[in-house]
Amino acid sequence: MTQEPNTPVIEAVGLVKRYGAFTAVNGVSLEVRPGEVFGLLGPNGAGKTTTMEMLEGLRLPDEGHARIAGYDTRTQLKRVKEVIGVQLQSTSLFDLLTVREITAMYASFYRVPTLPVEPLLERVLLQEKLNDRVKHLSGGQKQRLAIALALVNNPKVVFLDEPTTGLDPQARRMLWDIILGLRDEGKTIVLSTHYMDEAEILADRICLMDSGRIVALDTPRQLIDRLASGSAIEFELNSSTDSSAVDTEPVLNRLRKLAGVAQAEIRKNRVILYTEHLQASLTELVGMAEREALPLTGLQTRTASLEDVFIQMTGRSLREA
Amino acid sequence: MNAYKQLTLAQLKLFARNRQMLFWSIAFPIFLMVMMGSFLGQGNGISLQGVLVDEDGSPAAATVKERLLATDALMLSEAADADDALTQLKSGDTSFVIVLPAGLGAALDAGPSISPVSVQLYTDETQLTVSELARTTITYIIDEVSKARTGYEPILTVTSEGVQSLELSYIDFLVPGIVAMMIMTTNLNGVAAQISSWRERGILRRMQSTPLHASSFIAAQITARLLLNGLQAVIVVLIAQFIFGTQVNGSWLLLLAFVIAGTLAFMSIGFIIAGVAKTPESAGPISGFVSFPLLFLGGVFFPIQNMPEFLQPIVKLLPIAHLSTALRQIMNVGASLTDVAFEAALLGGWLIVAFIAASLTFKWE
Repeated sequence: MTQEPNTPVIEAVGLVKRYGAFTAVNGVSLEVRPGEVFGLLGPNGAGKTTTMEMLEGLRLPDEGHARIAGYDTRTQLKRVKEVIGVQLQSTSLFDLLTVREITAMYASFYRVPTLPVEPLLERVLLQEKLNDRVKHLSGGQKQRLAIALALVNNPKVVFLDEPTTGLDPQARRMLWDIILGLRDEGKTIVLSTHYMDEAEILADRICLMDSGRIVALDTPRQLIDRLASGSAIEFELNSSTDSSAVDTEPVLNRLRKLAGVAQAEIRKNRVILYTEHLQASLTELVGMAEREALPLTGLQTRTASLEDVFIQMTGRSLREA
Repeated sequence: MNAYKQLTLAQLKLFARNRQMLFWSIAFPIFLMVMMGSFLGQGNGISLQGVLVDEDGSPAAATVKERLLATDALMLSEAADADDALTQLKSGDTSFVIVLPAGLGAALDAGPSISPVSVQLYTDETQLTVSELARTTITYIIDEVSKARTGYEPILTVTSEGVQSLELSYIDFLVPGIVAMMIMTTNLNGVAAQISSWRERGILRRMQSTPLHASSFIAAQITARLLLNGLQAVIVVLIAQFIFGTQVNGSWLLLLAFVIAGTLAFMSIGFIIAGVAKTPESAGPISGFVSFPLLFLGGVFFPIQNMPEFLQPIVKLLPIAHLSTALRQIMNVGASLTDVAFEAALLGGWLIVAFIAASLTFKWE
């Protein structure tokens, strides 16, 4: 890297992208430092992919601008393309070419010196698939090949758009190891995902997005610490009481008055209480349950997660949004 | 340059590894040609149809004429003028022409004292069997007549001359049409299907995120398809030659030049369809909608002259009509570039217009 360690490798200011009347990205500004894994987390339709594509220069923003390694994505796109590597959300590759052939082909697209094919494929654990055709690869192998292709020009910044979507748990872990390995090598990685566990494990900083805007941007730890309440209590409300719609609002109001409870929500019949004092809240909850004959079915306690951060900030959960 | 080379190579590998594509683009036209050629192409059996011209008019010549007319193996009609008869031969209306030259009667009457007179036999060189049979039969008869008159000293001989006829059977018409059809379908339908599918699947978008130039990509597409179409055309023409004896009377180079022009024109149309079609699912029907009428109206299987009058002006503007006409002129008649300049100009016009429209409608995503 020729750059100062503190100079951001990506700078975006006021990015806006509209499709007709719909605004996909609405004023996104962010900076990514060299060598960090920057996670874009949000539900489908939050604007993650559009933001990424504007950073890559694949889409021009209607407003705002972005610079990668000092190059403007609008006026110096050729230079930008030489220093970035891209894995798109749903790229398929030529099924009838072999792993080696397709890697050599992508390498030929660059003017900058490219990485030798075999060691590169070894790094994504495809050394035994060199001469296999793409169509015979599993989903995880195809994603690993897509990552190898994103690395072929030895880029400064690697963009990975939902790299593990649709993979089984084992294939996901394998991909995580590869991504963490890239971080150890000092690559700057921009990663989008709608899995909060993935963002929590991989990202140094997380940009939480919803409806085209940045909701929060911080390290995973600090995002969670921002919650006034460190723990969550969950249970089902009216599974055994009569199914007729009980007015839940009075119950929630009484729950909010319990010791330590910062917030009480109900989603899909499950009550979620955020609390700073787990023990005190639990004790009072049990007392209240006995007085009011609340069943507390499926009672759970857990530490607050990024999911909870998202719910608190947007009033919606990642999955349902 | 390296990207261009790699992409060309990749596309050629994609062609070679796609069995279905290979079948439809090479085996199918051959199959179609062999089927149609076998059923429709060789209807006529061998008959020794000829024209007799008597330029002498003497009683002696009349006896020779009667002897020839009486031969059952020969189906002779008479013509007054040798030039007319030769025109018939050249246009394939007859298989041979016999000319009894002036002075034949005098020679017969005079006997072996003067130098022998030659009966002229013109045969159609493209019909080897017929020519050979006619030559043998007629030489035998003339020899017989000659010997009956003078013993063993010949006063009448036969000089045989081959004439290139233009008798075109259906197969001669069909083969260039098949080549034109092949060029149209592999390019128009092939490009539309492939590019729209690559776009849908994000393959083009992924390439767009690299420094790859659109021009390298398109140049590689063109090169690979030219090689494929050149190969297809040569294979089909050679097989037609081998099975049906069709010929390439004109220049192979000119033939290939038209294959190239056709490839470029139909590729451009394919790119336009890929640009217009919103999904690969609609690209198929749209290219079918365009290519199917072209197939039947463009003189691939049936001569354009056989089309209804009101369709003719439209038909004459279709790009495939010019491609198939030009290929036919070159293969059948041996036309030169100046002979097919009109076709070349119209095809070139299509190429330019379609190329401009294609580059305006081309989108990576």
